[in-house]
Amino acid sequence: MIENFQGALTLVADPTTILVVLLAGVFGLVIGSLPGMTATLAAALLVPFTFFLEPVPAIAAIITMSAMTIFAGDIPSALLRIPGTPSSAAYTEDAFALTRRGKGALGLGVSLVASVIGGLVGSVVLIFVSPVLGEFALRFTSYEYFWVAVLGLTAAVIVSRGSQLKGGIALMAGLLISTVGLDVTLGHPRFTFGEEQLYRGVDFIAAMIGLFGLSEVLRAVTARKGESMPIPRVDGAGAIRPTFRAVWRNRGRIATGSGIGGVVGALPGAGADIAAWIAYAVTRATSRIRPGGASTGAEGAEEARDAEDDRRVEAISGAASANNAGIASAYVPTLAFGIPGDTITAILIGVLLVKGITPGPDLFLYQTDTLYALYLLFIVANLLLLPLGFLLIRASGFVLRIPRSVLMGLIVAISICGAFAINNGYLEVGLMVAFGILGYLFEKGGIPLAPVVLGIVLGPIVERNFMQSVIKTNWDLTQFFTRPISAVLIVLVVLAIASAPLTGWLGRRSARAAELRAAGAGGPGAADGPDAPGPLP
Amino acid sequence: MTAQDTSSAAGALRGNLVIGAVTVAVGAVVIPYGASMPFIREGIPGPGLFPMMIGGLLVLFGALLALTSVLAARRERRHRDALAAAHAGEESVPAADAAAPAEGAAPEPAVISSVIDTDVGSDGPRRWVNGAILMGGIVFFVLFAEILGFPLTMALLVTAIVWSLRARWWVAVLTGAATSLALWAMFEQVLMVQLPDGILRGF
Repeated sequence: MIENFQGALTLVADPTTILVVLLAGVFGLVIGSLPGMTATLAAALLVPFTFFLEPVPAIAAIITMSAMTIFAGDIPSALLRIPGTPSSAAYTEDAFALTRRGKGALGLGVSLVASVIGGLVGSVVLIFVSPVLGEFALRFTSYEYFWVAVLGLTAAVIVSRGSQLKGGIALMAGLLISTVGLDVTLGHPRFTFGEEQLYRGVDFIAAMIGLFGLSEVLRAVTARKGESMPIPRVDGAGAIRPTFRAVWRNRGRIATGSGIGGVVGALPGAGADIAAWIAYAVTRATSRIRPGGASTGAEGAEEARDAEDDRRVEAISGAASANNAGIASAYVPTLAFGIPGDTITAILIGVLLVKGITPGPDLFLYQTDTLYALYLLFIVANLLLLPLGFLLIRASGFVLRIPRSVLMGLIVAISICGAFAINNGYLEVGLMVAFGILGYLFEKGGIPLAPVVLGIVLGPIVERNFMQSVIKTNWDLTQFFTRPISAVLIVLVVLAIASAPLTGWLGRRSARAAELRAAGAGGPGAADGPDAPGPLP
Repeated sequence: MTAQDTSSAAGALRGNLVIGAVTVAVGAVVIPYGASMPFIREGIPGPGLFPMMIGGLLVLFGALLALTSVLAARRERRHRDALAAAHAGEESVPAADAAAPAEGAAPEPAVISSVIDTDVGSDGPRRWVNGAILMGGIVFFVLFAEILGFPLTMALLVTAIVWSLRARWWVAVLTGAATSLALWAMFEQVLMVQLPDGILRGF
């Protein structure tokens, strides 16, 4: 173990790696702080560069970038009331309310320190859980791999916000795209339309750049005119001490949040944003701070407002630590089974495969140096987040002023270069454009993109393992169900599928009933129903 | 509650019906395509099996989406009627409707340091012109990169996009030039990727 870490340390301490970590960190912080730019977009834009790096710096770039982006997403939440990435959406209202009360630096500081602690806890979860699962996965055969992949696909659909049927449609679109090219059993060309270049299949990276990069630009250039937004100023100086005091006060919250993030992030398909929502709900529900002072008058009102601020800081501590913990623990299923935990890890798998590293149990047997380097990188990235994050809080006004128009031009340029560089050819550029349009249309129709990505990545795994299993046993389908590990996985899949429509239906029903009750009681609360217009575009 | 609400609900229903129809259509095309390949031969599953399964699920999901949207719209309408009936007994509360957006749009901001123009949107046909410039620009790049060379083509493309988003002309030109030179240096010099030289070959 010590030897492994020494080997890994020499890999990480390499000057190229250090430079890449710093650059990717700054890149992640900038992209994350811009509203609408997600960590997945950042990963897709980063891939063309990592493509030509050694494996360890390439992994380093993606890991550092994602750790930074998730925190940076809190900045526009606090300043503009727009979450920079979906992971910050859970506590955007709280962060913005603190800024309006002149406590923006405190809110962001707490969220930064909580993020760092959460990220470190997530890394520890990763380091200790993934080898155990990896060892377990050594006993997997094609049946188990089939079910693990199905579980990943099911989870992707269930967690998709909005309609799960649309999630299902998105998943099928991804699976369909994954069948393009020569098939796994007979080498028969499918959906290639006589184009020999398509025999390789649709290039995953070109698809990602299109789905997340170009589609974002398309959306921006065809957007309706909105309003310019004022940026409130945040005084970074002098906020460090109160920040750490608040963190210490909320240490229990951060611990719970990190724990929730560590567990939720490791579930296949559920990512950092789900972790943040759950941790937020738990923190809010178990808060022990009393909402308002009992005393009356101006003093009492001020006291009540302060109590409310404390509650907000508390909620931020829980949720901000959860999303960073989730980022790290999403690597658990990625490393152990080769099944991505979220869209970023899906992109990482694409990069690893190009580098000749197959994620999965073999990693723990044969490529321990790379594995330990990855562990170390998580810790380094999270520690680096602390100083860089404080700098970003102070420079936030400057970063937010980067003109959108320039940014869009940059994204288009990087997307084209990236797609072109995959094969030095224009087919990938064309694919990128096609996927950009697809992503744009999907977004317009409210169809989530994450299941498409997981479909493209997991499609071949599902198909190959299904075919292998069927050929091996000559259509003895009972084998899929009677093996003990398979049986457990099937139960999980069925539970996941059953839980989704049930909770959705119950939620909608109770929301409607509550609205009706409120209307019946004659309160104006009816206007606050689920269809009340949101303030955000 | 308001006329706008009902029309947006109808729009969502229409959107879902379109998505459902397209999904069913794609599934209906994929199934025969899959069936045209060997899908089961001598008991061994072939390349057509998986696409056929996907096609079947596409048809199923598309149909279900259309069906559930129609049902949900009807339930929503009935619920709205019930809500209206509950409201009918008392004074209507027009203030409540206005309160929610007002609170969000204009907060008393604490200390404003500056105002950003993050917004690049436009109104009317300009939106579609911008979209056409983006798409046409990429087609232009694909067609002309080999002739004009990467730096020049990319600079033109980026300049056009930035300029179309209402940036000042010199900002657009500067961004175009800087971006294309930086990417050229990055890919050609650092990452060793050969980009098309075009007329710049030999420099």
